[in-house]
Amino acid sequence: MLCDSCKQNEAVVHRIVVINGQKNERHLCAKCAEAAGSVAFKLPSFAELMNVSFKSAEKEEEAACECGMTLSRFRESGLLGCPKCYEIFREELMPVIERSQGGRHQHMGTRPVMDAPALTELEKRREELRVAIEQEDYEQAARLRDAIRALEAKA
Amino acid sequence: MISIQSDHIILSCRVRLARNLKDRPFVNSQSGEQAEAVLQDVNTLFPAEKGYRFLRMDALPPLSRSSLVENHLCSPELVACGQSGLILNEANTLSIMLNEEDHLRIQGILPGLDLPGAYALCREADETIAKDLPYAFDSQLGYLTACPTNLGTGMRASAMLHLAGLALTGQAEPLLSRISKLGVAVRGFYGEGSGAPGHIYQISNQYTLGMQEKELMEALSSIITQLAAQEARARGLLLTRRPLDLEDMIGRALGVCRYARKMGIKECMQELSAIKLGISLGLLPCPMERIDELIVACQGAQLSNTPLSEEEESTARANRLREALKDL
Repeated sequence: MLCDSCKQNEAVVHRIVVINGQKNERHLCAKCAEAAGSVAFKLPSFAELMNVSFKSAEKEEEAACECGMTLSRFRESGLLGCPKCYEIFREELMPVIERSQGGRHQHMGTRPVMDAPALTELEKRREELRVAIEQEDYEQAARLRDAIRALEAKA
Repeated sequence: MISIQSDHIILSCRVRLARNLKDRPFVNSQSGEQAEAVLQDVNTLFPAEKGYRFLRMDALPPLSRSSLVENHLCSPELVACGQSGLILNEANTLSIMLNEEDHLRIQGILPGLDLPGAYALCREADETIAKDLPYAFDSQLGYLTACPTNLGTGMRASAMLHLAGLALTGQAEPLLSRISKLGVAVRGFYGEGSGAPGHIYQISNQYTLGMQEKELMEALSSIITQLAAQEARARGLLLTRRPLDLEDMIGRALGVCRYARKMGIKECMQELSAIKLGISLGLLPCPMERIDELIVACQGAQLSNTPLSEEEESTARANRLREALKDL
């Protein structure tokens, strides 16, 4: 099909405008379409597209800790905002931690002296759950998970 | 082979524990009131009656703050923070930095290589605090710190080494880059980002998670001891193979220090490094402590009670060196 305007080049832009039920078709070549200005002929680049989609995805997923810390802020400063950040972002942080700690991910050193206020029931169960998962004792883990849920519901 | 006193190579050692208080935001996210609470809560556990000194950074003039850094009592980062503080014991072997990157940075510093001794100092303070103020702790990740590179034990053990022999024989750089692959970090005289003036290097453990404190210290001690042995060997080689060059260099360094009228810090560290080398090899009759004290005494903030221009500073430094070394 030839361009409606110059009648010389192959039409590549096909515009169909419907106004009050009246259908109006127009077929233009690239040059005439650009000159007419009616069509945004230039497609956004791949990078632009990706950038947009990244941004919107980030906006949707950006979770924040109660201290206000987000993962993108952490990536900028390298610092977390409070102890709770390690709970909220644990999944995302573990690869970072392992990389910076030579592949290690389990604390082996001393623990705070236990003269300090004892762990709460919930904290104790959470620790036990972590150990159970580590030891692949999934029956015990399931029991603990239920106990934790019950405690959390109470709290 | 010539014997070299090990403390002529391993100058000092340090253990640092990073801790944060439970249920409180880390330093970078806390409010002014919360920062104040950290200062007060910890300060009350280390009373003046027991010989502790408490210094508030915002109450100290800039020169006194720089002086603390030059004496290795706290980090340059601490003095840059607003609402931060420092607790020191009588002997200045224990220092607790408050509101640096973490709520607490407990440091033990001792001469030579005595990491268990420095750790014991830290641990005592650590337990004192933990009895009253619960720490942010996680059974998997250990002590929780603002930066994940300090997780687990929160422990950074280090030693300050004078590696002039290795540097002069061109072995320092390749050797240090090799050991940095063994989970060891190499830094300059004043920690992260500072150069290594006077061939003084700080060697510390890179990883803090997944090993016991004792293991970390033993692994580091073993690397440091081997490095010190290499340094002793390099010094011995210089003395037997290039005695004239060595004496020439040391003589020139002494000459510059005794007669110069202006001296920048970089040159000063370089000359004092050569003099230290000369003393350790028995070529100069002078107690080593005198030069070690002089190294600190020649840092910027030690030279005057009032801020100096660059020219005044280099003049004051040259005067101090002339005076200290006139009988050598």
